[in-house]
Order: sequence, then structure tokens, then C-alpha cells
Amino acid sequence: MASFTLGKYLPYNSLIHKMDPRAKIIVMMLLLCAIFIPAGFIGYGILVVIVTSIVLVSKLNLKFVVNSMKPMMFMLVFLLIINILVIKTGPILFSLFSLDIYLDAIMQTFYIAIRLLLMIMITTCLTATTKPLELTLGIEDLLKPLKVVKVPAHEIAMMISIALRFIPTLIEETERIMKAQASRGVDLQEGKIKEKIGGILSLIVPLFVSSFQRAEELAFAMEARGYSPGEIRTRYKQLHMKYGDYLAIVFGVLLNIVMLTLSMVF
Amino acid sequence: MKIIDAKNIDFSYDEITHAVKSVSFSVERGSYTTIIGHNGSGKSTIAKLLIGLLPCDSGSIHIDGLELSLSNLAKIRNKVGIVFQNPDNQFIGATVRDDIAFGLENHRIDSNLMDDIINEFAIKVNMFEYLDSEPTKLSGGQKQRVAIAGALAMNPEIIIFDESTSMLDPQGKNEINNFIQELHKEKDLTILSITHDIEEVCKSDNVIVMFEGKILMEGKPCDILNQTEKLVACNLDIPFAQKVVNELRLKGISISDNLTLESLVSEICLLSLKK
Repeated sequence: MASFTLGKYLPYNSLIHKMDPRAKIIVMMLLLCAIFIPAGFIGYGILVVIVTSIVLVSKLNLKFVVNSMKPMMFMLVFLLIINILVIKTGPILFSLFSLDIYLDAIMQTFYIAIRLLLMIMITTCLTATTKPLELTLGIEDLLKPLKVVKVPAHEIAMMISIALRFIPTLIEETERIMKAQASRGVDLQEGKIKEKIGGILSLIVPLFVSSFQRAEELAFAMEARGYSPGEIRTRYKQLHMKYGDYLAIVFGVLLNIVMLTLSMVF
Repeated sequence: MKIIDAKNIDFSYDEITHAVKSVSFSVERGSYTTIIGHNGSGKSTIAKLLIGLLPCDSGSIHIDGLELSLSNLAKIRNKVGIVFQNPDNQFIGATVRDDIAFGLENHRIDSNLMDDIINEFAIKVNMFEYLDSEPTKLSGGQKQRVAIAGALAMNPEIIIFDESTSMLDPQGKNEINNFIQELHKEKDLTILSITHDIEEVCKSDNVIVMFEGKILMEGKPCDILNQTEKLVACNLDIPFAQKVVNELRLKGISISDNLTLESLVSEICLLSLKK
């Protein structure tokens, strides 16, 4: 449980780390858009080069990023099988046990694999280079214009930051309950499915009860310190966009234009 | 001058649990008052009533002359800081720095001034070198000190400690108790401490003993702690020094009331010298 690394922040000192979180989120969105424009081999080639260089500039280990693809492998193999069975266009590559395998089937799977890899690289890059708190501040600021249509931007950001703050506390709590239940004879590892479900229930129920208690106490503590949702409050951490940040956004937009042009040409 | 004035306050969680029954008490400005009582005696409920986290069913509470009501709530919360029992469940920020800033943000302090305030109070509670630490890296006592800094940063006139040391190890407990003492001595701060710890009671100016939602006794620690039988009857312990005094008296040795171990030891030494 200690190795739990969901969007883990890696504290290096790089150009990407120093960027404004808002700019990073916008650029990430733009890159994700670019990935879904079908711009053929050249387009994906450009994207792979760009995203790889971003990862390298962030000083992240490429292996760390590619490793996060591993859980996807099963899905990709499954997709390949379906594609081989369904897609019957393009030239036949070869026949396997009287089953014709078409080029398009392989290409489609390859494109999806590349898209997934790029998506994972981009999102990992965002979460690994941005502190969770900065990320929530960024989300809050970006959602601010939606206040007009009554989207509670600040409350959403507060909820995310509290959820992030309590992840380690709840993991600790889960470990404690697991030990407590194990000492009472609950076996979470072995046994029949029915027993396993019982075991998991014995973990989830106390965890829920204690989480609700925690939530109540936290609400009291927040209220006692003057917090009231919807009220105006100042903010300690101020975000400042720099030239580089604007440049990155412009670059993201340009990339989308290039991709669109490529997709129309090919 | 009274800074807290509670008159006939009543509170029930539901039809069965009548937690506070017609309680009246007052606290003098700048004093150090403790409220003791067994589990479920209503002492923590009183803390929540005083800061408006729970509404009284009847009765009135005045804080620094202001009546506790919905319209005065923000003003009253500016005057009263509270430190709760569980260090984990009152740590709101991602780091020590953000946690101290949380209250300041709510009180709309200019963000340019926040750094100075945060540094000042972090130094005060000896947490300056931990400013960028996350709560998982801190001990219970350290988290409580951060909570105290968070409460102090808002410059309150009253600070309530709601069993703030009960989840700490003996070292953390001593650390926080000593800090509360120092705080009381150096600032004109009114301290209301809700506690199980009978030893802490000895150090206060005034004691309120709660039993089953009512005030059983109220007065100076030496007067209250003398009434051993009453304290034992409401499931409370008596300080070790007082136990020794009682035993010595049973043996026919005349000895004055001693609330601290130090004064007891010196008196016993004097007695043996006289022999």
C-alpha cells in the first residue's frame, strides 16, 4: 500500500515544474485534442517527438512513464484480436490458420496503442511535475469563468484538495483496520470468494464509519476556523503566468492547427 | 470582567441524549479555566456550543459582551479559537504552511501579509523548520502545535482546548500542556481547557466539574480537589499529590493541601527536618 502512486508528484527542478499549473492544464488539454486528430503517420511521429521531449525536459525517467503502460497491455491484446476479426479492409498481410489478417486491423490497433501511450505520457507528465495543491488551484482558476452558470469552482477545488490531503490518512487507517481484522481471524488473501467478500466487507464497513466521523470532525474544525462555503476568502498561494506559459499555450494551439491541416491533406 | 457568560444553556442531540442540562457559568478575562468530567458528561458539547458549532436549545451565551446568534457568529469566531482532540482531523492544509494559512484565508487577510504571520506563529510553536512538511511526516504533538498556531494566528481573545492532549503520548501531552501554561503567562489570553487530565486542573485558576450534563462543582482547584469523595463518585481520579496528602492525614500526620508534587516533597522534607 505504501507504494501507492496515483499521479505521484516527483519533486525535480525543471522548466516544466516551474510552469504555471493553469498553463500546464491548458497545454495538456490541447495536446490531448491533438492526439485525437487523425493525422496519419507523420502526425503521430511529430506528436511522439514533442511529447517525448516534454517528458525529457521534465527530467522524468522515460522508463517510469512507459512502465505505466503495462496495465494496458491486456486491453491492447484484446483490442488487437477484435480488430483482426472485425476489420477486413486494406491489403492482406498474411494468413494465420486460414484467417486473413489485414493491414488496417494492425494499423488501427497500432494507432490506438500510440494514442494511449501518448495520453499516459502527457497526464503522467502533468501530475508528476505539479504539486497536487497547485493542480487544484489551477483547476479552481480555470473553472472560475463557469461561476456565471453557478459552477461552484472554489468548492470543487476545496473538495479535491481535501480528498488529496486525506489519501495517506485513509491508507494508514485501512492498514490499521486490516491488521485489526486479521488479528480477529479475517483472512483477506485466501479462502473462497464468499469468504473473501465477507473479509472485504469487514474492511469497508469500519472504514466508512471512521471516514464519516472524520468528515464530521473536519467540518467542525473548518467551520470553527471561519470557513463558510460560498463566502469570499483571500488566497495564500497566488499563481502568476509568465511569458513562457503563454508561449506554451500558443504552441499547443499551433500544434492543433498543424494536426488539422495534416489530417485534411492525407 | 466576564468574557464568557453562559446562562441556563440546554442541549440535546436527540430525544434520549440530553447532553447539557441548564448549565450556567462564567469565565473571567485572562483566566485559565478547566472543565473536567467523565466521558459523556457534556463537557465537549459545551465547547461546541460556545463557538456556535451546535445551537443551544435554550439559554444564552455571551462572548465578550456579544450574544451568540447567527448574525454575530463570524464576529464571535474571530474572538474564539479552538483546538480539537484528534490532530489528524483538524489538519486541513497540504502542508504546515497551508494549514496555518487556512484560517487567515477565511478571515480575508491580505495574501502579502500571510507569510509574516505564518512565520511568526510557526516560530512561536517551534514548528518553523517543519513549515513545508506534510501532516503524515509529523507526530501527534507536532500536529497539535500546528493546530494551536492556526488558532493563534487569528489573534483570538479566547482559546478553547477540547481534550487536545487526550490522543497524545505522555511526551506530546507534556509538551502541549507546558505550551498552554507559557501561553497563559505571556499573553492576556483567556484559556478554557476541557480535559480528563486531573493533573492539568491543578495548574488552572478555576475548575468546573461536570457530571451527567450538569455542573456539579465550581471553584478554585484546591477547594475542588479536596472533595475527594465527590470526585470519585463522578468517576474522576484525584491528583497523585492529593492522594499522598490524604493517606498521610489518615496516618495522623498534619499536612497542608498540596496540589503539586514539588510543594508536597518540600513540605515532607521540612516535616522530617523538624523531627
